Parts: sequence; C-alpha cells; structure tokens
Amino acid sequence: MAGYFTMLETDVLVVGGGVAGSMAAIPALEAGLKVVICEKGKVLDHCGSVGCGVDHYLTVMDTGPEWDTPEFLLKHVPDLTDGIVDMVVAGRVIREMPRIFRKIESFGVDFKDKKLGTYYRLRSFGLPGTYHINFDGTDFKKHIGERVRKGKASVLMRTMVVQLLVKDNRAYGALAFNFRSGEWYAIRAKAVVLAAGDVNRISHNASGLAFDSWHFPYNTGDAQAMGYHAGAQLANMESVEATLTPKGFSTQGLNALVSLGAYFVNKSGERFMFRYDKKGENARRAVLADAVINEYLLGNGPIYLDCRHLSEEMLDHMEHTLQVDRYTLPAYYQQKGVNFRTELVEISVSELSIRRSGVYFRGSGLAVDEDGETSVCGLFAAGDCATVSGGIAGAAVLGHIAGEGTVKCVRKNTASLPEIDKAAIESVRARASASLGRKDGVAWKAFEGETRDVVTDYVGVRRTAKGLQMALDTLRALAKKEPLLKADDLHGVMRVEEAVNVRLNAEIMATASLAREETRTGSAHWRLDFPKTDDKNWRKFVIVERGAQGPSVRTLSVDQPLSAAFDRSTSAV
Amino acid sequence: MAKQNEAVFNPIRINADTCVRCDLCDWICPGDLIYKEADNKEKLPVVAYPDECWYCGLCQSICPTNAITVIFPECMIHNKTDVVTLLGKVLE
Repeated sequence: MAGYFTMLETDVLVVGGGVAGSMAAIPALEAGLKVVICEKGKVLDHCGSVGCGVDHYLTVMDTGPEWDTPEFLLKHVPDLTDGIVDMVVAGRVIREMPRIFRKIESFGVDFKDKKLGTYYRLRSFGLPGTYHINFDGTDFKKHIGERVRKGKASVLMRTMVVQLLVKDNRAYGALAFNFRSGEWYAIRAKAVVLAAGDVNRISHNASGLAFDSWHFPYNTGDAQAMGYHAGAQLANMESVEATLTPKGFSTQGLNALVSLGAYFVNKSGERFMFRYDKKGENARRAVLADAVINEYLLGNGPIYLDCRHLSEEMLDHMEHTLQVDRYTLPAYYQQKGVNFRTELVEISVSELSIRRSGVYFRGSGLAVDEDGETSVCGLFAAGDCATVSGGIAGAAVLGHIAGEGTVKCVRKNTASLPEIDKAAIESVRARASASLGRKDGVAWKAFEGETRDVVTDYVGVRRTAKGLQMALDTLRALAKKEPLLKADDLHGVMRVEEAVNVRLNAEIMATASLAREETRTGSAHWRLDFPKTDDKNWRKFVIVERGAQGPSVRTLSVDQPLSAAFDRSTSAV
Repeated sequence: MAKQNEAVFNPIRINADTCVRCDLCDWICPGDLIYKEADNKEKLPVVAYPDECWYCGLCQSICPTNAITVIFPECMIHNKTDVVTLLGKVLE
C-alpha cells in the first residue's frame, strides 16, 4: 500500500452513498457543483441502512387535514422524543418533508398502492397520524441512485474514508483508500458531507454472529469517529436502540408486520403490550423493545409474534412485504420450517446499535444545525449519523437539506483551501501498511469481540455508574491494543479501521451514559441507579467532544438548538 | 486473489453447474465478501469472508441463473440463546 496516491479536487465530498448521501449529492449536482462520493459498499442502488429496498416511508403530505400538516406533527415531536430533541432542526426537517417527498416522486418512485391506486397510509410507531406510506419500495433507491449517476457525480466504490482533513475548525477534504486496489486518495473539497450511517457490531445478539445485525453490519460509526477526531460535537450518544426480531435472525421486517396488525404475546399467551402503552403494538419502537425486554426479565418469555387472527388477504399482503426489507426472510422462515400465517414465531431482542433509540426526530450522532452543518465549518452530516434522524425519510430530507447547505457553503467560501496535509497522508498510510505487515498482532475480530462483550454486559440496557466506569476502563485499555492490530489483506485493513471506530463509539456511548444520571425512553437509557426520568435536571442534551484526555462531556438545555453550543470563532473562513 | 476459508460456515452456496462465471455477485455484495477473478470463465466466484455475511441475499437476487442459495446456519435456524443473557449484567 506504500505506492502512489491520487489527488482529487472537488466542490463537495460525500462519505456514504446511501439515501442521505445520495440525497445530499443531488442538490449539489443540480447547482452545477462537482461531487465525489466515497462508498464503502456498493449501495448506490440500495439503501445504506437496510441494504435492500424499503417498505414504508414517513411523511406529512400537506393534503388538507390538520393532522397532515408539518405544524401538527411538529407539535407532537417533544412527546415522541421524551423531550430530548433539537426542535429547530426537527422543525426544518418536518417542514421540508412534503417538498422532498414530491421531489422523490418526480424521480419515478411510485409510492402508490397498486391495488388502491392511491397512497396506503398507516399509523405506526406511536406517531399521531397515518404518516407511514406502505408501498413496494424495491426500486426506491435505484431511482435516487439513477439521479446521482445522471448528475455525473464521481462515485468511488469499495472506498473507505479514514480521516477528515481539517484546519482551524474548517473541513477541507479527506483521505480514503480503495480496499480492492489499495489505491489511496487525498481528496480536497470545499464541503464534506458525512452520511455513513449508524453504529452496528457493538453488542451481542441471539445468534452470536457479529454480522447478523438488524441494520447494516458494515455501518460501523465511521462518520461519528472521524467527526469526533476532527473536533465535531456529538449528542444523544447515550441512547441505544434495539428492535424485535425473529429469534436467531436479526433482520428488519418484523415491525412492518406489527404495523399491519400482528400481535406480541408472552409465554402465557397474553397480549401484553397494552400493559406498557395505551397504543399497544402501535407504540414507538423504543416502547415495543422495552416492553419485550421487561417481559423477558419478568420471566414471561419466550415472547412470540402472533399473526393467526389476520385475514387471508392481509397475510398475503404481509407475505409479499416480507422480502422487500430483507430478501432472504421468506427463505429463513422456510428453512426454519415456521409458517407465520398459522404458527407463533418466537422473537428476540436484537443487538444494540447507536442510531436514534427507537424514536423519530432524535438521532444519536453528529450535532447539526438547521443546514445540516456540524460544529466544524464545511462539515455536514445527515442520516443515521446525525442528531435529527427519522429512518429513510429522515435521511432523505436531512440529506437534501445538507446538500443545499453545501451549495451555500461552497458559494460563500471563495477563499482557497489549505494545501493537503502531507504528514497526515503519510501517517494514515503508514498505519495501514503496518497492520498489513504485522504477523503476530491482535486480530481485529478478537479486538472487536472484546468491545461487544463489554457493551453487552455494562453499556447495554441495564446501566449503573459502576458498570459504566468498568466499561470505560476496559474500553480505554483496549484502545492501547490498536497499534498492534493486524490485517491479512486489504479487506482486513478496512475491517481494522472499522473495529477501531466501533470501539471509539462504544467509549463515547459509555461516557455519555455515565453523565446522564436519570432514565429516559425506557431501556434506550436505563440507569438502574437513577431509575426515574428527571425532567427537573435532565431536560438537557449530553454533548460529547474530543478532549485532551479522551471524550469530554458538557450539557445544554433542550430549550436551545444544539448549534448554540457550536463555537465557530476559530474557523479560518 | 482471495481464497475460500473452508473452516468457516459458508452461507453463500454457488452451484458450479449453473454458475455462468459472471461477476454480478462480486459486484453487488455490500460486504466485499465475494471475489470473482475477472475475465476467467473457468473459475467460480470465491466467498472469501463467509463469516462476514449479512444474509441480505443480494447475491442470490441478482444471479442471472439462480445459481446462488443462501443457507442459514444452525445457530440462526434453531436458536437456543437465553434472551436474558443479552440484557446486561447488573453491577451495583
């Protein structure tokens, strides 16, 4: 890997070609800017978080009724997020929803139900209206990817961005490498959008397979880690997310069945969800997962999914929907020998991830302002790595907002960019080369496994100060092994970088969890030593940023937007 | 060129009789697991990192001759894990 590297110049660099990254690229391309997208997988035609298509899309459409207006939904956002939300950014996202929805429709995405000839809108996840369009979104991302291609963005596939270039709190590019060819890129850009998704592979699940995860296991908090190193602020990192999955296969798709009318029952056959929320199975995802966790802890497991009461027509519809989110789900049920139409399906709690803790409009990740810009000038974030997140629609809308933000940023900042930091290039490349040549080093799988062990046991759904402190000590000790990590090949170099990012995200999560001395959103942040929600003292964001001794914490009242904590005075531009 | 790791369960089964040795499975795999030597009509695609599979089935869905089947391992099909063990240890 010590050979050449390619220098690239662009207006906008986008890290991640999922929904948020692609939607960010589109307005930049429309404005005539040069765009480079670095994509670790090859997901330009698929969603970055779920790999396949989508089966639901959340939007207000402004069709007339009050519930369908942005202001109505916005009024409910504090309740939906248990009060911890950046209302300024959430407000912009929700108000932009109808415009972005129609723009995606204009790309050729057909949101209408073929039988009904109109939108099939459902109420789910505790939302105060039928905001979820249930549709066949197999080609949803293909249409968006097509737009990016038509706009002539340069897309570097199988390319991982490993470090941002920042000077005087201003981002001016990044360093990346292609893990097939070993080619290095030094990319100078006037604006950078981080859209590399959530943090997975961070705790254990039922199958024990690290890559069997609900969301994409190849999303490893790269954006959060790089943003942190670049000096960007992160918020809500204490909130963890789990979902409910068929036991043994951490797949999405189960919640879609629930929104179509399936029940959860415990070992006694009791439909218990109403004990936890008056909306029953229509409660927020955080509440659903929390209820099942509680049922298991009460000894009421196993917990099952029950579809037996549904009509043949609905079961047919469900069967068709199953494979939209995850193509292999029907084959899984077949190999398992379970017929969900006539039998109970045992379910489990998935592994944990850092995303948006089962609620809409409160993301865990890089703090952004209403243009999607982080506390570092010229550095934007959108999708599951940003502090306002809302599934596919959230990624699409904030992605587009961030893309428009880059256009403003590029036009405003006409000063020339700094020269690329040659020392940074050499240091990053030397680190990669050393891991590749190391014979007796630490295997990334073992290293990452240690992160998962400690997160599962002490940073998961039952937290105490003592456990979190022990986790932090262990994670910091683990960091000392990073210079010893070894890779067998270029692919392994990428996995080493990912394993390092997963560990750092775990440390940030443990740091934020220790700071928030209360419980909020059930098991998303459940402190056994502070079991109550404390609105008097904790209507605050926990903000984490790089300090001299590792992650440092501060808090900010939720009455202010996160950008109130941004200090851009040191910026050169 | 990456080699098949025989010691690890391989969920991506490629039928050598029906595989036409194109590179679509290599092209689409989001985890960079499948490697197909370019311009070699003799060699099958290699599942180089089978334990990093996400079980998404994109390889199976794109295969032009249905030569790929995704097989789930025993720990996913008949899972015996006590869910409570995933819910953390309590240190007070």
